[in-house]
Amino acid sequence: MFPTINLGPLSLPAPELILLMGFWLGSTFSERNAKQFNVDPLILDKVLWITLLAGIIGARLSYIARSPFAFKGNLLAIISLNPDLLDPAGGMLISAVIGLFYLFKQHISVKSFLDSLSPFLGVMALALSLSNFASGSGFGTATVLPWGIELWGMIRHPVQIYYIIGGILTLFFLLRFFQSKNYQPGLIFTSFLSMTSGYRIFIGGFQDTKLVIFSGIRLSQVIAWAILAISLYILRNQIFPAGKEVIHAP
Amino acid sequence: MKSYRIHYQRIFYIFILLVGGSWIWISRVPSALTSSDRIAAPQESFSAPDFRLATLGGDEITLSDLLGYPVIINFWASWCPPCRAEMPAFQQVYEEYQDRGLIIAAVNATNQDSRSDAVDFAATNYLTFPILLDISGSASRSYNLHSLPTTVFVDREGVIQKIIIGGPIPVPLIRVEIEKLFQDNPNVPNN
Repeated sequence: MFPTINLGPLSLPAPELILLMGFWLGSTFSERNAKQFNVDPLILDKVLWITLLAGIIGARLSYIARSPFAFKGNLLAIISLNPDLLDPAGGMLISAVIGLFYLFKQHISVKSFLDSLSPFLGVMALALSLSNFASGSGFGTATVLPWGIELWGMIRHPVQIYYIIGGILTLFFLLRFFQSKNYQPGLIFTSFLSMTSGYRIFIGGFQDTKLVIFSGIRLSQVIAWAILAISLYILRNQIFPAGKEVIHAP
Repeated sequence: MKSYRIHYQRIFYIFILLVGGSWIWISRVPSALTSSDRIAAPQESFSAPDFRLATLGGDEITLSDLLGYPVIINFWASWCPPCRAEMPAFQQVYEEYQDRGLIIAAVNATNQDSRSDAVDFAATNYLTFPILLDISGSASRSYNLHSLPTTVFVDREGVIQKIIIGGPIPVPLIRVEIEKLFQDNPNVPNN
């Protein structure tokens, strides 16, 4: 656990820095592979920055909309640099809407775009796990296994490490997939989605959380299961489509 | 041939979903493991580590005695610019929420500050909430203090709901977090 990086008098928040690094590495990785999916790397870069900006502004607006009482007499706080004044769910929704709108406006195939975005998402999933490891959040349940780590008063499963391993394996699989000669548009993204939700269901079983629905069933696992079911259904239709639309990689 | 592949693939997908569903059921959280709030640790959803510290006036305050009240613990030092910048915001919300039972415990990291500077700062800024002196640094250690300021929002059951490292924290953010403290466990009587 390393929540801050101290550089002389400067104290930098490690989890946020890791996420920023992840964004930079992921976008570079995706841009390098974009041409393989008939997506212009410059367009991909533009979409990533537009959605990031839209996400941040959207998250602030959503936060204000959810708690307007809090800004009474403190309107200047609307432009505060504090990252805690953001609503992540609202930001993601607005970012997705703006991103899709831009893709449709530019007549870019959503399936090919999502394929080219998969490496970015894979790296961001890794960065998120590493960020959780740095902050000590997203911790595991108690264990007696020899690789357990001492965290928050007991020996726990290092679930953040498990997630990092799952993320690396998924990225490795994606890299292998890129070398494939023929694939349906959207297949890489759907495969990425099913693999990610698959390992999240499994590793989620070792995560300590209070977000349970009934009988102790974790909400995160149920969401991952639903995503897995949807992605497997789409995957089946992609592998055995009614019509044929196959991309031949250069 | 293709229809066989489709058939087996469908069975394979259903099998994966069944295995996933079974694992979700098998690995569900036993009630004992959801009670992380019974363990004291400086982390959200855990019980706030207890401390007993002297105030500027010489009285002593023990955190566990404040159960039943929402508490904001703010670790600060007089030489730390963001700590100085955010203190008026805490004073403002304290005046707004004091009548509803909010307690602000401003813990001065006296082991890396001077008592006289802390006294001067509190007087200059007309701070009316308790200023606690962490002379030995024991409270800072039990909260894994890595950076100043650090603010911990503790609900009426003594469970940490939010930790904010760094500052200055704007008034709206403090208000939102305080409202959450009042919303959590509404059945707990306000003493």
